[in-house]
Amino acid sequence: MSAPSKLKAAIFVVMVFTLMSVRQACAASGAYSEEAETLFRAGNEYYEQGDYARAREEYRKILEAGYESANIYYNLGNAYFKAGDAARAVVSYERSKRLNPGDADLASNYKFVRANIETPLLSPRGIWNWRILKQYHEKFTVDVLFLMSSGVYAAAIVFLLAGVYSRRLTRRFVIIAVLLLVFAFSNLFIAFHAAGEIGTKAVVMMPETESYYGPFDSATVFFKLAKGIEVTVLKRNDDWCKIRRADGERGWVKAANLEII
Amino acid sequence: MMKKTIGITALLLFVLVSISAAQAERLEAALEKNHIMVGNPVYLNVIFHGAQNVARPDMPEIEGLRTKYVGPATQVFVNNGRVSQSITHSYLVIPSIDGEFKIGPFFVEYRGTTYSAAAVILSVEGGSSGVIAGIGQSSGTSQPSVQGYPSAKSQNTEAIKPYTGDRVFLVASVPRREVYINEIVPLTVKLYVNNLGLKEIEYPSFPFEGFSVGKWSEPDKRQERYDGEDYNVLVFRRDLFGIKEGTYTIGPAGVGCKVVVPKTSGRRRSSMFGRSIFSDDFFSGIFEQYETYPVKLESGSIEITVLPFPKKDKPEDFQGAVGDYNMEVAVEPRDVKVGDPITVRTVITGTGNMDTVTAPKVGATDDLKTYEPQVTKKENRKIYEQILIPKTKDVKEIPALSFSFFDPSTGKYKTVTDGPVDVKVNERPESENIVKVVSMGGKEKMFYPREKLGRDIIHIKENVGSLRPLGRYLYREPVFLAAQGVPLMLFFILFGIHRRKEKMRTDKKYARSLLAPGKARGGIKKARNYLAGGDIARFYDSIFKTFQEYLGNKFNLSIGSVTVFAVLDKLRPVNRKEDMLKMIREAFGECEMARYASSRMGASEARGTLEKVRKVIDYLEKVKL
Repeated sequence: MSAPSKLKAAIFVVMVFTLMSVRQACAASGAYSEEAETLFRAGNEYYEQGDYARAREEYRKILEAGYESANIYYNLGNAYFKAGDAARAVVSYERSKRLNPGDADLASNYKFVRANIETPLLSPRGIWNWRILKQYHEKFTVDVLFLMSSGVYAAAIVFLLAGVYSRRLTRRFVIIAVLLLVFAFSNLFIAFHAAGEIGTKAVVMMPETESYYGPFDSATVFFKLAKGIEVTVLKRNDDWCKIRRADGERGWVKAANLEII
Repeated sequence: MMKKTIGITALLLFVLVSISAAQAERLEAALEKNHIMVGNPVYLNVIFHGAQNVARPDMPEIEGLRTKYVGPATQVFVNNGRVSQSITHSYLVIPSIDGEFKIGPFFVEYRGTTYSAAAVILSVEGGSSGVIAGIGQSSGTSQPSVQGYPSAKSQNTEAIKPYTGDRVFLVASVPRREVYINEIVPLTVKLYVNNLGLKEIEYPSFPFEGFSVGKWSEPDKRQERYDGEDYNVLVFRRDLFGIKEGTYTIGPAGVGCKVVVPKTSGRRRSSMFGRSIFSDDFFSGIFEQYETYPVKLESGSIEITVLPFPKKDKPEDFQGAVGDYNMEVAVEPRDVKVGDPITVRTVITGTGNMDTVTAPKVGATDDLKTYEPQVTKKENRKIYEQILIPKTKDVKEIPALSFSFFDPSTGKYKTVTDGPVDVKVNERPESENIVKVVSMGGKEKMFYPREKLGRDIIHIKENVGSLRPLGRYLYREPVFLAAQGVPLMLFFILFGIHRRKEKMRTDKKYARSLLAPGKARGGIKKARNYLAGGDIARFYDSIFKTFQEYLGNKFNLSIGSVTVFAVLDKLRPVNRKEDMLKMIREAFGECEMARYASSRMGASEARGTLEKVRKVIDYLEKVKL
C-alpha cells in the first residue's frame, strides 16, 4: 500500500468513526417521531384556540416520553408567555436556544420576552462574558462545539501524518497541524464550558426572591432577585441552592424558587 | 533715431558731470547712541561721503571696549539732479566696564589724500539691562531667598556691584487669602532684578496641594520700585482654584536661572581686527568675557483658606459654577417640520471659573429627542449648542433654561433664566419622508423612513423539528469518546509502518535480516518439491543456495563469502550450543558432498539435510543475534 493510499484510508476511517458517533448521538427513535408529531400538532391546535394550558400539556407529553427538540421548547415558551408567565417562557426559550441557537424567531421572541421582564441591570463579570467569547460559544450547540473540536483534531492528525510521509513539505504540514491542534483544544475548552452550563443555569421563578448569606431562613438577606433573572447554580444543599448572579455576587436561594434550564 | 542716441549720450554725460561735481569728500564718525549701559552693544558708523571705494579706517584699541567690524554699506542719492554717494563702515562696540570713552579720531586715505573724522564720546553706565527678567507685585510673603549664587567675595566685578542679597529675588502673591471652592485666585510670581544679568530663566515651579491650576501666561516685563530701589521685573501669572475646603499652604515658588557676571581675569584685550569675520562668533565672544552661575530663587509660601459653598439658599440646579455670569438662549430655527433639528444655543458670559460652568440643557420628553450639547469655550465665554428633534407636531415651545452659580463677591447664589421659546412644529408631508441621497459618483440612493412596527412574539413552529433523546449529548456518548482515540491510534500505526519502511530502505543489514526467513521459506518449499520429484541433484542445489542465502542475509555476508567457517565465527560469540553448530557443519558438509558426488546421496540423506537446514533456520530465527 503506497503512502497516499494509506493517508486516504486514514481519512476515511476517521470520517466513518466521526459520522457514526454523530449519528449515534443525534438520532432519535424513528418509531416515536410520528407520535411526537401528533402530540405537537395537537398542542399547536390548542395554542391557536387560545387554550395555552392544554397546549403546554401536549408539548410536555413529548418531553415526558424522553424526547426533546428546539421547536417543542420554542412553542412551549410561546404558550407560557401567552399565558402571562414570562419567567417560564424564558426557561423554555433558553432550552430551545441550547438545541438551536441560530433560530432567528427564537432570538426575536427571547428578546421581546426579556424586554417584558423588569430585571435590574447587572454588569456581567468573568471571561465568559467577554463579547467575542460569549458570542462564539452561544452561536453553537454543545454538540457542534465538540464535533468541531473532534473534526479539527482529526484533521490535525491527518496533517501530522502528511508531515511524516512528505519529504518536502514536512515543516509546513507540521505547522498547520499544530495550529489546528491549538484551535481544536481551545474549542474543546469552550465546549466543556458550554457543557458545564447544562444543568447549572437557572431562572428565578418568584418575584423578589431573597438571596441569603447561608442556606437557612434565619440567615441575613444579601440581595433580592427579580423574577425572570438568570443565575448560575454553584452548589445544592437539600432545599437550597448556592447561586451566582451575573455580576458575580453569590448567595443562597431556596431551590423551589428556581427553575433549572 | 540719431537724435535719440545723441540725447541719451548727453544725459549720461550730464549725470557723470553731476557726480563729479558732487564729490565733496569728507569723513564722519557717529555713534548710534552716546549713552549706554555696560554690556549693551552700540553701533559706530564711519561714513565717507563722495566715494564708495574707500577702505575702512583702523579702529583704535581701547581698554574696556570691545569692537567688531560689521561690514561696509554703500549708498547713492539723487537729489534735484545732484548725485551723491557714500560708504559706511559699521562697527559694533560693547563696553565691559562703565566710564566715558573717547573713540577715534579716524583716518582714511582716498586718492592720495588723508581724510579725518573727529573722535566720538561714549558714555557707559554700570549695570546691565540685557537679558534681565523683571517682575513685580505686592503682597505679604515671607523672606525671599537665593540659592546657589556664588559668594560676593569670589566676584571681582569692576562695573557690577557685588551681590548683596537684594539684587535678585522672587515674590509670590495672591490677592485674597480666603476664597470659596472653585473661585479663581490669580497667582502672581515676580522676579525682581537690580543691576544684574540673568539668562535661561525658567518658568516657576509651584507646589499647589488642594488646588487646581491653569497654565502660566506669557511673562511680561516692567520696571518697578520696590523698597526704594528700581528693579526690572518679570511677571509670571497663572490662575488657581481650590477644589476642597480647608486651609492650605501653597508655594514656595521656585525659579531656576543663570546669573551673568564678568570674568575676573583673562579678559581679552587683543583687537578683533585681522581676524576673519566668518570665524568669529560675536555673541560667543561676548559670553567668553562673562561667567554664568545657575541659581535657584525661591519665594515664600502662602497660606490660603478654601471656604465651602454656603448651604443656605442653594439652588437645586447648582452644579458648582463660581463667578458672575449672564446667560442668553437662542433657538434656531423656530418654524420646523417633525424630525427637523432645532438648535438651542446657550451663551454664558461673565467672569469667574469658566471650567466650573456646566451646560444647562433641555431634557428629553416623549415629543422631543435631545442630544448632548456641544461646547465651545472662549475666554470668559462658553457656548453650548444642543440639537433637539421634535418627534411630533405637539411641541409648542422649548422650555426655559436656567443656570445657577455662586457669586463670591456677594457670597450669594444667583440663578439666571431665559425662555421658554415658542416654536412651531409642522407635520412632515409623506413625500418628504423619503430621502434621496446622491453619492459623489452621481449614483442616487433612496432612503425610506423606517416603518413603525408592532411588537409581539413570533408564532409557534408548525413541526416538531429534529427530535432527540432528552438530555443526550454527544460528549457523553461512549462511542463518540472512543472515536476520539481512532485518529491517534491510526497515527501511531502509520507512523510505525513508516518508520519501519524507512529503516528497511536505509539499513541494509536490518532489511536483509528481516527478509531472510521469508526467502528461506520459499527456498525450502522449492527444494521440498525437487525432493518429492526425486530430483536429488536439484534438491541439493536448491537447498544449498537457500541455506547460503539465508545465512548471508542473517549475518550480513555476501553470498560468495558464506562458508561454514565464516558462519561459525559469527555465531560462536553469541551462541555456544554445540549441537546446533554441529548441525550447521553437517548441513554444509552434506550439501558440499552432494554437489561433487550427488550419486552417493539418496532421498533419505536429502530429507535429513532438509530437516537440518530447517532446524538451523528455526533456531537462528529464535535466538537474538
